[in-house]
Amino acid sequence: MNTEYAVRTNNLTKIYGTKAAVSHLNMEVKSGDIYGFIGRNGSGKSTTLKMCCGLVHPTEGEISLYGSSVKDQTARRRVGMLIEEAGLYPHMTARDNMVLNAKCLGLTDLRSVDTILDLMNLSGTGKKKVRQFSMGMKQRLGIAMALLGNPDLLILDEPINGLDPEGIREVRECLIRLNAEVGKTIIISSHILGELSKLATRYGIIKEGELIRQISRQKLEEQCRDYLDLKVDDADRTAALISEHYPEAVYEVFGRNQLHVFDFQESAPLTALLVQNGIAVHSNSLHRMDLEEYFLDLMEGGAHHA
Amino acid sequence: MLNLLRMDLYRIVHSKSFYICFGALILCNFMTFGILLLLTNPTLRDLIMQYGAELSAGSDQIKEALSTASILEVYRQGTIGGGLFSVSTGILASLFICTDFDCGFIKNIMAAHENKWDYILSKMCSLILINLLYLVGSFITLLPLNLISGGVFAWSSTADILFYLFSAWMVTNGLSALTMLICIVTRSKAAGIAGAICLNGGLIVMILNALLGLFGLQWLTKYSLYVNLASLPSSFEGNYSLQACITGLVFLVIYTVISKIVLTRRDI
Repeated sequence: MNTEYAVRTNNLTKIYGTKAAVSHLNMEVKSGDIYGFIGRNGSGKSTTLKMCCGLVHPTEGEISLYGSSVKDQTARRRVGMLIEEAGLYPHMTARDNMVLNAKCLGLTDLRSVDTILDLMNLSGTGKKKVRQFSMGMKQRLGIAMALLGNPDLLILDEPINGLDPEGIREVRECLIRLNAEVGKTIIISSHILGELSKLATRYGIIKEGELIRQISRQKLEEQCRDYLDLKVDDADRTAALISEHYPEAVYEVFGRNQLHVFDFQESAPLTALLVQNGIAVHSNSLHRMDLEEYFLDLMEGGAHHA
Repeated sequence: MLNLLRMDLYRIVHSKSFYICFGALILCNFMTFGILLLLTNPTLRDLIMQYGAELSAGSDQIKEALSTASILEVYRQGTIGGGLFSVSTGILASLFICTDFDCGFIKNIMAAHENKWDYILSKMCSLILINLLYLVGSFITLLPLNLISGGVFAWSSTADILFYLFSAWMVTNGLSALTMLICIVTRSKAAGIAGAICLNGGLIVMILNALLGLFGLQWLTKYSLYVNLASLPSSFEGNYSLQACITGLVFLVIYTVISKIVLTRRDI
C-alpha cells in the first residue's frame, strides 16, 4: 500500500447540471502534510473534500486514499472528517454524540471518547444538550468526533468557523501537536488565511473548480519574501553597484530598468548610493506580501500564474 | 451493519420521541378502554348522557355488542384499525430517520460506511424492533386493565393473540419501510410526518379507492397495506388469512430496495 501520499486525485470532476463544481482536479497530499486548501466561496473546496470523504460521487476521475480507492472501507476508516457544520444530534449531550459516532465506527473501547473530549476541553459539558452549545463548542465537538478511531488523515472544512480567538489558538495548537507528535496528515480549508499560514506546510489553491496552484510553505515563503522594488535607468549598472557595496544582497533583474532586492530594508542609503553614481532612480518601494495577498493576486490573475 | 444497528438502538433508547410516541399510544389505549367501560355500565352510561352525550344504540344493543367483544377486538378497534398505531410508528420513523439528514450526522455515518445497505438495513431492523416493542407493549397494557375491571371483555386465546400481533407487525413493517422511503427521498421531517399521517392513516387509500371506483378497479386497494392492516383476521382461518403478512413482507422488500437505490444515487 502506497503511504507516501495520503490523498491523490486524478482528473477529479464533479458536474451539477451543466456546471462543473470541480474540474479535472489533481491534488496531492503527502503523508504528514498539513495541507491548506484555499479558495473563494463556491470555488469547489467543500465538494472536493466531500468527494475525498466518499460523501459525494465524482462525475469523473479517481481518488486514492493511502494508495487505495476511496470506496475501500479500510482506507475510509483512516479518515476523520469535519465537513461544513459538525453533524451532531442536537437533543443529545456531547458525550452521547461521541458514543454514537464511536459505535458507528465499531469502537468497543469507549475510553477514547473521554480522552478526546478532554483534549478538546469539552469534558465539563456534562448533561448540557448540544443544541445549547455555542458555535465554537459545536466546532470543537466536530473536531473531537473527527479524531475518534485515531484516523491517520483529518479532513477539516472550515474548522475554526465561529471560534473565538482563544478557541482558534487552541484548535491550532491541537492540530499542530497532532501533526508533529502523532504524524497525522491534515487537510484544512479556511477563509482565515492568516491563521492557515500559521499551520499549513503545503497549500492548494482552487479557483472556479480548478486547482490553480499547489505550493509548499517553503516555496510560498520564498515567493512572498519582502523585496525592494527599484525602477532605474540602468538596471545592469545598479546590479553591479549593489554587488560591490552589499555583497550579501540577493537581487533579481527584470529587463533594463527594474530590480528586486530581497529582504532589503535600507532603501535610503541605497538610493543615495545610486544617485551619487549617476543612476537615475525613478521609484523605489518596499514590497511585502503575505498569504492573503498572494492568494488575492492569484485569484485576480490565476491563469497567468498557473 | 451491526455497528450501525448498535448505534441506532443506543439512539432510540436515549431519545424522548420513542417514549412520547409509546406514551401517546398507551394513553389512547386507556381512553378507548375507558370509553368502552363506560358504555358497559348502565349507571355511568346514564351519567354521561345527562352531561350531553348522545348514543345512537340502545342499552340492550350496546350490552349485546360488548358482551361478545374480546380483548383483541378492543385492541383492534382502539389501536390498530383506525390507524393510530401505524401513524404513531410512522411519525417516530420519520423523526428517527430525518434527524440524521437534518442535523448532518448522516455525514459521519456515510463517511464510515461505503455500503449503503448498512444504513438501510440498520434503520429497517431498528424500525422492525420498535414496531414489535410497541405492538406487544401496547397490547400488554390492556391486559391488567381488563383484569382490574373484572374481565369486562372476553379473553382471547393465546394463539389468536399471537397470530393477530404477528400479522399486524408484518403489515406495520411494510408501512415503516414506506415511511423510510419517503424520508430518504425527501430528507424532510415535515414530509415524513405528513406521509405517515396520510398514508398510514388511510387517507390516500380512501382517495385512491374512490378514484379507482370510477373505473371499477377498487379491488386493487385490497392489496394496500392500510386496508390489510384495518381488516386483519382475528384468527388463523386458512391460507387466505396470511394475505396481510405476505402483503406486508412484499412491500417491505420493495420499499427497502428502492430506498437503497435512492440513497446510493444521491449525494449527501
